[in-house]
Amino acid sequence: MPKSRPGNSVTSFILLHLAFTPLMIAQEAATTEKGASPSYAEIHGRISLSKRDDTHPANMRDQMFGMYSIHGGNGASSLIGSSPGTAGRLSERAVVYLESDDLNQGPYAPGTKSPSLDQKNLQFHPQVLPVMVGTRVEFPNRDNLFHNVFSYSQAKEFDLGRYPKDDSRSVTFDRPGVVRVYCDIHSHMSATILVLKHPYFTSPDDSGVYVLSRVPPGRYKVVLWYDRDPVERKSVEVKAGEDLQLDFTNQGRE
Amino acid sequence: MTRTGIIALLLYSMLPPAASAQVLLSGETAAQFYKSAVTQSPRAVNSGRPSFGWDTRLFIDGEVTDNVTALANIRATNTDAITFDYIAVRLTDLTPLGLNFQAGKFDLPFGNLGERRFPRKNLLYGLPSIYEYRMALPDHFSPGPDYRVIPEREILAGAGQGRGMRLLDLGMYHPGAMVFGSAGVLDYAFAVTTGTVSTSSYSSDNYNSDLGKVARLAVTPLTGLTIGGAYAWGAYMQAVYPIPGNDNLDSYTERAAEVDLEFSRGHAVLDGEAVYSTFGVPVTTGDQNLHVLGYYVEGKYTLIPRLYAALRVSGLEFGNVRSGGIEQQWDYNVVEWEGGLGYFVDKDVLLKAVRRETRILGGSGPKDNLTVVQLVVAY
Repeated sequence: MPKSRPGNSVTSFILLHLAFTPLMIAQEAATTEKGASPSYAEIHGRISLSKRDDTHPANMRDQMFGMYSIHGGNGASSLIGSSPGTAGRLSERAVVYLESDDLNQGPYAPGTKSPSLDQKNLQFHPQVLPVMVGTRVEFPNRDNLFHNVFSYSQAKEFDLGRYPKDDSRSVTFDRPGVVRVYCDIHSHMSATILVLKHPYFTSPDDSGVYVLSRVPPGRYKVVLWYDRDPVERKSVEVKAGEDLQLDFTNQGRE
Repeated sequence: MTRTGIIALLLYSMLPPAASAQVLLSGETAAQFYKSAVTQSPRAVNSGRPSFGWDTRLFIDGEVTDNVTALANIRATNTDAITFDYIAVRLTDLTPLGLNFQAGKFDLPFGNLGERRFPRKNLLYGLPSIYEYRMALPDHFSPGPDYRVIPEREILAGAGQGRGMRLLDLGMYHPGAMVFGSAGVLDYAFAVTTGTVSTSSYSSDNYNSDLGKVARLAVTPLTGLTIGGAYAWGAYMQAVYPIPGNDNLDSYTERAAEVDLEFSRGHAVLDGEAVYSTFGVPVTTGDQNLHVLGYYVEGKYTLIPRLYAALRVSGLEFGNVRSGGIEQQWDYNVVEWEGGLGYFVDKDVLLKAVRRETRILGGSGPKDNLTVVQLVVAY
């Protein structure tokens, strides 16, 4: 076995460190642990979207033919109307993230674990998925029928074709932007993947509480994204060690 | 329904819905340029002159409660007046077995055309020939000069031109009532309507004293494969002229059986259907049964995101009719293929380039073709 030279070890260590430090930041920033470390700030708050319709019924037009498995609807009738309504949960439909040119400079590395956008009960779960550039996203089919996931968005074009239950396909998102995802068979199904350049994003829990941890000091716009669009932006300036409370009530709806 | 009435209905549908009700409007519009061969073929469009055409469809969906919906499809084309294709009230999940019911005017549960009848989901331009081609019994078989055995029907002119009757009348929308549902991998439906699969009725008035009946079963043994079959029967003739020696229209019935298949996997989709139908007819030498077999196979493959290629082969094969000691086919067999490319400019914007070749196997105009460029927008 060849012996490694000391110089190589040091170089490897530095390279590894450079490679993994952003990853660690990304992972830590994505956690929701309470309290800001002295060098960083934390932004947290509650999202209240009382005026929004949180129900997400399957499109009746799809039902018109979907219930016609008699017309080759591929068994959709057994699922229509059976959705437990998870797609109405705030945790699946809202994302809070930071906007700043400084943050976009990076470098950051995506996490090693691939997030997934499930197809279940004729809906995508979650409906909004934030990821970093370079992230590979899995698209598992949890329904006992075919879906055909596709996107024609500029940030990523793909067409995964049809595959059965518990099978999955994956896509790596290598450009920042908004990726609209649809099902070619069930036209009411849609989801959005936010491909961000940085790891400063989070999803709230079902009660609307969100936490953005390990935020570097600076000036940002904090964006609330709901379903298909940004619905509110707030400008903030945070200092090291600051614990900033920032609620969204959608009063400043875009 | 008058244009004013339809506009009033549309305006009404746009009003803020009641507290628990939802009204959804959607639709699609297609614009096309087409040029067919200059032939006497019944498939020639506008005598072979290059032409532009359009059609638009509006879908109104009203959800009254979780189990009660009202659905309507309104269609207008460059050749037709505004028409309600589909207007029905639907009750769903009536029993723990998931029995559903609808009444009004709806598409019959016969075949697996489904949403492919609409331009956005139609891989090509036309429908399979079994849905569009007009079959006709030669006049000399008719019992009288004013009597058409297979009545002329031009209700949906523009797709298939000419005289005669379609095997499956385009979308086959009928006034009637229907129960349908699922049990495991089985899907079932039974409908009673004013017309048969070959004679769509666009008014609520029946043409005769009988009702059309359709029963269908489909099974999905594995994901991506659905096999279905249906049987339809009923009197189909229209009481326009008296029939010599027999004034009972109801004794002339249509009986149609079909099997269909839908298979898909990966980027490939395959659909097929075969229909065998008999029509009891009074001809000059007495009552006879006319037979016809129709079929189509249609495939699609997504080449790259946005772009697909599609091909369909369809045809009709006719049985014999006897007259004056001579037995001959009652219409010429037809073979047709239609192929093309579709490109999604956007999710709901589809551009299609389609070529259709029709071969009528007999007569004086055996060759026909149609070239179409169509842009479809769904909203």
